[in-house]
Amino acid sequence: MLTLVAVAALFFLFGDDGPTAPTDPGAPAEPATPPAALPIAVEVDATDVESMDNDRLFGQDPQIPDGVAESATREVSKVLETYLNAQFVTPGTRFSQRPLDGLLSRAASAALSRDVRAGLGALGISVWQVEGEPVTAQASVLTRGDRAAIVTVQYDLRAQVHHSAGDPVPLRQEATMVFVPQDGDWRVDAVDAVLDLPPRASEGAR
Amino acid sequence: MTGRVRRMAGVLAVAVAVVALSGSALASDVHRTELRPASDSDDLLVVLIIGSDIGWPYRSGDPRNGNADAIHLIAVDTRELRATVVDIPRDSVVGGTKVNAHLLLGGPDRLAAQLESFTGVTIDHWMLTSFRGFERITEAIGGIDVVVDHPMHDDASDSDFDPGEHRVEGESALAFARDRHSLPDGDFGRTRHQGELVIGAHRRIAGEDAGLGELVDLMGTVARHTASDIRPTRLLRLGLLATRIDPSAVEQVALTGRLDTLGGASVVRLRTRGVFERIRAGDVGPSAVPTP
Repeated sequence: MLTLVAVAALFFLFGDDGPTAPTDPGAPAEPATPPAALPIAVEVDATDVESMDNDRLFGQDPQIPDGVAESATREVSKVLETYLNAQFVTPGTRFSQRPLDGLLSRAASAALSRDVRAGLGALGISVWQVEGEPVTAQASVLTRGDRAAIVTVQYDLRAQVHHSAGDPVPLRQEATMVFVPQDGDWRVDAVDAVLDLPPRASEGAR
Repeated sequence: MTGRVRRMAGVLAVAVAVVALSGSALASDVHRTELRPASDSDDLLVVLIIGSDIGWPYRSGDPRNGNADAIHLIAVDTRELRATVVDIPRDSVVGGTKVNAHLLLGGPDRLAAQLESFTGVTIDHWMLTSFRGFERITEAIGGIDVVVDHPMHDDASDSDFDPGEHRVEGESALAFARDRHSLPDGDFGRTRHQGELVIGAHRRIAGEDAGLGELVDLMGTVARHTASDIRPTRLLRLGLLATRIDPSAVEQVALTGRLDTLGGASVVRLRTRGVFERIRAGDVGPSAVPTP
């Protein structure tokens, strides 16, 4: 009966939006020397560029300066790569909320909710290791004057999460992130994301 | 079955249901999420929308220095996600002259300042487009649904609509917005139609399950075909804010008034019906204005 109550409490506590695999207090601590995982590399393979300038209002085509979109895309790729590795791979920060601090704009941070944190990977779980695959992203750049103003990136992250040695489950995050300039850097102002992380394989088989 | 047994059976059934449901909840491993930036506005946001009668290719010139053919104030409660769209006839007397002339006399800033003085409502931003810009925006949205009450067949505006429902975009949207000759209430009807297009455009954006990337693209299109005092990041946030407002939470107030003459010209003495007092008080949305 106590089990039922506990399970019911968990259900009402987390509902459909709860963490996939709540931290198991009985789980073994991560080994001190897990196999080193390769960092996730982000490559942008398509870049659309449009201007936000209103020259057409005056019968002219807007000019897009050379190299602006490529430069912005490179910078955004680095921010995304840093986030993905910190959020999903790096021991000590993975699945925590800390990587979001370096990703989100102030306005986006102010709108963070529990659901959003989960979708972005801050699940608060402890795992043994994560092996990520290279990410191929598509970017769209909106320029204003001689600068990039908004960069939208779509990507599909796939990784293997080892809750313990020899117990991998696939992780997938599909996301569209909208980057805007903030304090000389790029930060995410809006996100649509789907994060799929099954519970450990041994749990799923039960 | 005794009452106690029935109660136990009930408890057991609930427990089984809870276990089944909670089992599926724990197995649920997909987290779908949308993150939209927090509003960086005050609770009340007011945007002036201007349609200029000048602009390539119809009438060459800077649309910021034309007459304002369309004038609408959009007041948004950014916390409650409600809005009121006030349609202002172009011949309304504001600041001692027709309101539409202020654009010609001093650009959008002067028009906004005169309207602020007249209404007492602080205008946060203005956004202006031309005939062609309006056409392009309606095309980017994928058309706007309107209801035509009276036959609209007018050579001056190229309108050609029978009564009924229509989806207008591009040239047909412009014709719907410009025709006043076909309407029994003339310019008042035209002004109301323009407001219906503003609200219809919002309904399209908010009603479509558009992805974030598409919404950003649309904001780019809007920026390309408008002049405004809104910076790109702010425009993005305002656009995303608009998608969060349910169309049922948007009220249209089409102002009318008493016809008069001023310096030999036909003008309108507005009946504001208290709408600006209510907006100043932050009372916007469908309940804000009683039916006249």
